[in-house]
Amino acid sequence: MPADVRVPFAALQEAFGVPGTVTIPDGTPVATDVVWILPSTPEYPSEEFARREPKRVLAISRDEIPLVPRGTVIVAAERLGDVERTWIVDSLAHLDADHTRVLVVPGIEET
Amino acid sequence: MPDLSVRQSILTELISRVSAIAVANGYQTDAGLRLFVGELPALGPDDPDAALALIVRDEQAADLSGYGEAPDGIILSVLPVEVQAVVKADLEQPWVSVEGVIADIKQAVETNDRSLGGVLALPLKRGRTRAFPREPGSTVVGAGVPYLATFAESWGGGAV
Repeated sequence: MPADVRVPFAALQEAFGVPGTVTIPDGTPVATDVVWILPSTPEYPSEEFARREPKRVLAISRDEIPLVPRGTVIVAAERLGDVERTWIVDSLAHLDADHTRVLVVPGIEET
Repeated sequence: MPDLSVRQSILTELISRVSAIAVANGYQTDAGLRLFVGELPALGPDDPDAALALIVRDEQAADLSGYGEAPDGIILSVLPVEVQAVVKADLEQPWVSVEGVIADIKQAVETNDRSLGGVLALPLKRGRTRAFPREPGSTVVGAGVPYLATFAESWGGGAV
């Protein structure tokens, strides 16, 4: 019986996951299913003249990958069947009991 | 063709200067190739990597007209104009991108002619430069360099 109303991350992976490879700095690649969270499109910088761009959030299982520090490299498609792209973890977005949500930016070859 | 007002002359000269910011002209960025004046669009990922906006702020006027023996007198005004930039960041060294565009703006605007072609009553002044660092999840940095243009005009807006 679930302890609260949160959907277990394993169920989200099953329903919405895309195959990915996560490599933390100085670590070895780990294959897992990552989950894209609905992105927002804020303006940067927070000034009068700005550029809108997607604020991309990826969710990663803490059971499979307990630590996701800044600089972690993730290779995954944005949708199932799309071409895989490289993403760099830029910042922690949210920490939950069973998963980590991180802000990612396109890898160097993508910018 | 009617004469330009003092304000129009000031803005025309500033537009001319910052429009020159391009790598091909010896600058560090191509920010001047896309310049917005009188509008502040939110650019998107498909727009150029670097762009500038000229933001004209509220004029501060000391109205000395209508007094004494010279009723036409003069109105002395300070027009704040900020050059703001957004540029794609070097993700490894975002400060390099920020400082590059700040340097370009200063180099372009701050020529030996501080009267902007003779229209200013006092030399063009620079205000407080602002750097907008890369925010989490963003690939963009920005900067703002404000200038103060002091000019005199008559009641009715003509140059004096």
